[in-house]
Amino acid sequence: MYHEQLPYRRVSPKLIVLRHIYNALGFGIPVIATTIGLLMLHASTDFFTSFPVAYLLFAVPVGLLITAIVFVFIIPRQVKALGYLENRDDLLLRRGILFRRQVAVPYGRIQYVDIRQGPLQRAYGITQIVITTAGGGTASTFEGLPLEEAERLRDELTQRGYERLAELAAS
Amino acid sequence: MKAFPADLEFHPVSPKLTTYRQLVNVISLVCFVTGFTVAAVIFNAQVDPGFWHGLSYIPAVWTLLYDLGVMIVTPYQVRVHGWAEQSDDLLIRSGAVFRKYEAVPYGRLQFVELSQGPLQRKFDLANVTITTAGSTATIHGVPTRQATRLRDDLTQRGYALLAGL
Amino acid sequence: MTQQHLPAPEEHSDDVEPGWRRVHPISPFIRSWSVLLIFVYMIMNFSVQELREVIETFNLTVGQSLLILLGLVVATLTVAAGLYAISWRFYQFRITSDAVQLHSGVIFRRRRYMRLDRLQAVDIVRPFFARIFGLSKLSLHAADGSETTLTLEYVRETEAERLRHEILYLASGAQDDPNLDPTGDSIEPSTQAIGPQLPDYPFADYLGQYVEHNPHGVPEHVATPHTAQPAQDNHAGSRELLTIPFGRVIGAALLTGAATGVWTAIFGGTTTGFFIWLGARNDAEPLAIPLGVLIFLIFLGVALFTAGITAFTQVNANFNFTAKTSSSGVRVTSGMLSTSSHTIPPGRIQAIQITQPLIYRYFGWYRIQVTVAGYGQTDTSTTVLPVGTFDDVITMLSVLAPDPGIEYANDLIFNALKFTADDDGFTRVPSRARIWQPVAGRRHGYTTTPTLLLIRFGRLRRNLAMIPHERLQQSSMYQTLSDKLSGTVSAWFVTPPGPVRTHLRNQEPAALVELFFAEAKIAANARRISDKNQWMAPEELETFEKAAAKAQANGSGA
Repeated sequence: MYHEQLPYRRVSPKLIVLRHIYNALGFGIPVIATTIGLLMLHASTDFFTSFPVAYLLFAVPVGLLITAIVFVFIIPRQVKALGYLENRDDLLLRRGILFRRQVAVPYGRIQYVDIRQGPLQRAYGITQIVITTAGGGTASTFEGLPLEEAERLRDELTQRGYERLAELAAS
Repeated sequence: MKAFPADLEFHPVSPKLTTYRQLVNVISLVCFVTGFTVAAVIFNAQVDPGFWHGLSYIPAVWTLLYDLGVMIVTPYQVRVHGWAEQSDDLLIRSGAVFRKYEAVPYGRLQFVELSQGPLQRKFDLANVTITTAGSTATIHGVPTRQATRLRDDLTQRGYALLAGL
Repeated sequence: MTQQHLPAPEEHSDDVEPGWRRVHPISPFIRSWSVLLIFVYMIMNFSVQELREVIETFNLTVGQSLLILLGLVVATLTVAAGLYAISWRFYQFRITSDAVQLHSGVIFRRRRYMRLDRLQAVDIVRPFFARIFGLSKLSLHAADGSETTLTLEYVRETEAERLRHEILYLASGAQDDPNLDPTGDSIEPSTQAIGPQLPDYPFADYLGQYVEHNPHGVPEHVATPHTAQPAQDNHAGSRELLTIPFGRVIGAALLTGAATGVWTAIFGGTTTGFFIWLGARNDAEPLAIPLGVLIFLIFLGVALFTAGITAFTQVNANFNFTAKTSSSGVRVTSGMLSTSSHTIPPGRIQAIQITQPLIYRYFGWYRIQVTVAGYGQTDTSTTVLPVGTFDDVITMLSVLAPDPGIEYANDLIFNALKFTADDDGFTRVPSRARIWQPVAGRRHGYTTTPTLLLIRFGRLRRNLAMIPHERLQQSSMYQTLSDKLSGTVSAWFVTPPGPVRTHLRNQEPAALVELFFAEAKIAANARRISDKNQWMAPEELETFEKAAAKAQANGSGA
């Protein structure tokens, strides 16, 4: 897995900024919404005075906020841990620092390849590449390649599948 | 399954898997039992006395018994768990009480996934998940180096025997 | 509808790169009509009282309110059509000799690239409204579960058929054959709907395997095969297999409708009975009996309505059901108001299930469903024979599973479904485990032929699942609590997700363990000789021939 010292390629560092934005939006909105909701509940009803335990509910936004702050420190390392490698037989995708995952997709197994780009991703020139195999699942979703690199990779993936099969047929 | 051929040699998974699993079991037992107990105590403090005071402890007791059962079975499970590389397929054995054998043809493999949590890393264990177009099969607790070797082996054999889809 | 109103989709606009195309420009308008239905639904949700209040508040005359309504309708349509038009602009596709490419999405952009040999099935659907405009929807399926890989909504009917033909031709790999006319690197849009003629795939030769020595007589349409239809899409060797007569479609629909109605009525009757009983028990409740009768009437209405709807939906879907076979696979077409046509290329059928629901039994009818990796679990496209006789079943099987591997195959299948003989070759749930399957236990078991694994299950609704050995994805053998208690074993022979059930429960351990290992070996050999992606690629055909010859030599030597 990580001990192999394989020459993994890294994704664009712009992904760090993008992930920070996702983080801020993904946690910020729920934190603000729940805080406002609870404060309004506190001001308009006597729910909290009759059930003092209910003050524990404020742990929800606080917990979310702490998670968000933790993620601020994790994200750069997470992005650095993302890597991909075009092996002879398969594409290796690697992710995660604490929870490590590595997927090996044989080239001949690729059903189709999607390159996706949302508005934020477009602003940062980053794409998400989704490789679909008959095995289903999202095991091979990979974010962070610039558009040209993603297209190169896609062409490479589909081409290699053919070449490898031709090699096998010849042997 | 007595009818199963006895001459098949299964490659055992790492014996450290037992330690790792027992540790996870203990952590989950402590967390859930305390959690459920605290919840029951808070619940009882809030409501009037009655027979439901006793009932509120059911989740905690159930989790305790269940986890203890799992802890008894775990060593057997790990001893049984293993894989055998045959000429055309990978055979996986699991289950202490309810035995299970899975055969995954190399030529059917869609992708291989290795995964490792922080605690698993301390014990140098990895999970190897093989996905086919129909389902998946997982070998738990393979030493990391062996797991990567198995992955390379599987994809290579997969190519040699590549079948449609 | 003249040419000016419907500019040809192959016309390139200046903002499209060469080779890229869009769907028909009228599509946004057609699609926007579905939005109008939502609007109508919203209007209908207002009560008359509420509408009157609105009208009174603003002091409107009848004419004015109608005008406002019309305005709203027009506005809704315009907005919807506008949004669809924007998405239409960004929806562009290209077909090259080895791949399909798709660019879509306005805000969230997506570029899809699918190699053509990954094609699992092609559908052409003509919804009623699109049909009026002579348009069709073309869908391509790859092995990605129930998702549709590429949908062209809508293109002209002739265009859809031409595209289907091109795609199937390219996906077959036949263009790599030097004997056939090469089509070049990129398919240039042509007005001619004719591709190179394909060689005949040896489907028909297998028919004999099912019907030879047939004690039940030779199916009529096999004995006198229909001559090649004037091929709609110019396929060489396109042959009609069967058509379901209208009477049978109606009959089956009425039966299904009646069954649905009966269930609703039973439910209604029980409720009614409860109310009447309540009334009789308690005389102080004078309303109970009239209320019971009222509820009964309501349920009767609902039952009739459900029955009618169910029956009509079925007739609409199965009207003029026709199955054909050609070099590009099996094609089933059907439909009255909306029509659909599904094409499954050779080698894409993962498993087959023949079912006889209880209501079909008296008439000797069957249903066939198949697992295709592109369709997934719930897609109705998986039904390749909605209602057919046993002869129809055999005719379909001769195409779906061309090589049963044994003579008397029809006999085996007949007995498997009828369950008349005691020694029909199928295993049974051992009597010590019958308590887990009291009804179907005697009918639950398996048998194998050199090419197929057959699993039979169900007593009221009879089922027979067939998996070609080379299609097996993986297999597992396990023990559940019931197995543990009665000393039996269960197994699952995994195929891609689909309607076919391939579980075996509570079987004799020794036999099942043997099957588990035998199946792994047979499947491995079967994969070597007959699993392929491009069914017409010369090297694939060649390897197939060689392997088949070798296998035959081995088989006769053994």
